[in-house]
Amino acid sequence: MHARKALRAVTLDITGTLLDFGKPVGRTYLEILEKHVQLGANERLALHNGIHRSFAEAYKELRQKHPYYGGKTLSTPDWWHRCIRNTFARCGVHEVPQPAVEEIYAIYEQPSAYTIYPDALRALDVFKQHGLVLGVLTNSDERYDVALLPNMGIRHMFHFVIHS
Amino acid sequence: MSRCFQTWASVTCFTLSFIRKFSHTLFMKIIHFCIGLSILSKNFVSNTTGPIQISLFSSKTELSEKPNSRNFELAHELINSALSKATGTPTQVDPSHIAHIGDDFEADYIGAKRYGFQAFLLDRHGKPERKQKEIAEQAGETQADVLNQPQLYASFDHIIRDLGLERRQFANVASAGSR
Repeated sequence: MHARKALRAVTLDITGTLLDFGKPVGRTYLEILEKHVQLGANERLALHNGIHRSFAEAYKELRQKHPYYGGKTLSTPDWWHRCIRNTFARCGVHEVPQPAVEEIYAIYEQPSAYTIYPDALRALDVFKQHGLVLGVLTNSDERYDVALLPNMGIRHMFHFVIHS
Repeated sequence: MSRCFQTWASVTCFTLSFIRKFSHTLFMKIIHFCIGLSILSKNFVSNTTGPIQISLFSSKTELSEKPNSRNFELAHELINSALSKATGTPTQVDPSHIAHIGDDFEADYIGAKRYGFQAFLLDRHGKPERKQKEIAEQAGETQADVLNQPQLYASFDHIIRDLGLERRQFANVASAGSR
């Protein structure tokens, strides 16, 4: 209790803590693909049924193969472009136009792709009122720092962002 | 002089937004390069009104992720420097005076505890059985200590209450009003 009275700083995780995806990642992938490609009935069915699992598997595999979103070997966009293409490939869709891949990559820099938890925003205000130093500790890529949090207008609330 | 700067700034902003629109990859590379330079030269991005803003490309340069202690250690160092700057005297806080809040048992809860932060584990979906199962699985993989079952918090409101921050908030509001 004594330590709690002397609280000086709070660090926060982002995904699942401050915000979450507005809708399942697979659904977003499929919706954007359909804007760029005329899908056949079979393809659409395969994607509809399998894309959520395909994304989870493709993401996990790539995180193991190229950790830290590519680390020093791949750039973050290259890592994600690969993850997006692998996701579709696992559902049997191998021809994905580059603009579709780029649109999927870019959408996750937009606040509209996320739901922000109101209790977390209230808490940020309380922490600020108490003069606490605020920081972010996330295992997501650097785009939370350079794109999403600024786009949401809350980057200035944090003294630092440590990301993957 | 300031008009010259404004023109330069607006031209730069326009150029950056133009580049961004047409080549996102190129934009990210420029940002990477600039921030990398600013870290190298220890010239962190700052502004005069808000808090000092620091960006760290920790994994790309250090290759480390939560629950590694390195990430919490970096946070600890940055908190010390922010407090030192704010108070004007060199300040070192004990990690137990820092709270970390997250929803992942291994990355957030264990990582923070191991380094010595206070740790708060969120379970937003209110499914303690599912969360406990997840914890048991992760603990099995990493042999993390789960003998002390972590308390699960459904929202930040409960954490704020446990941190004893809520009451002081009202006190602050009242004193601000009376000024």
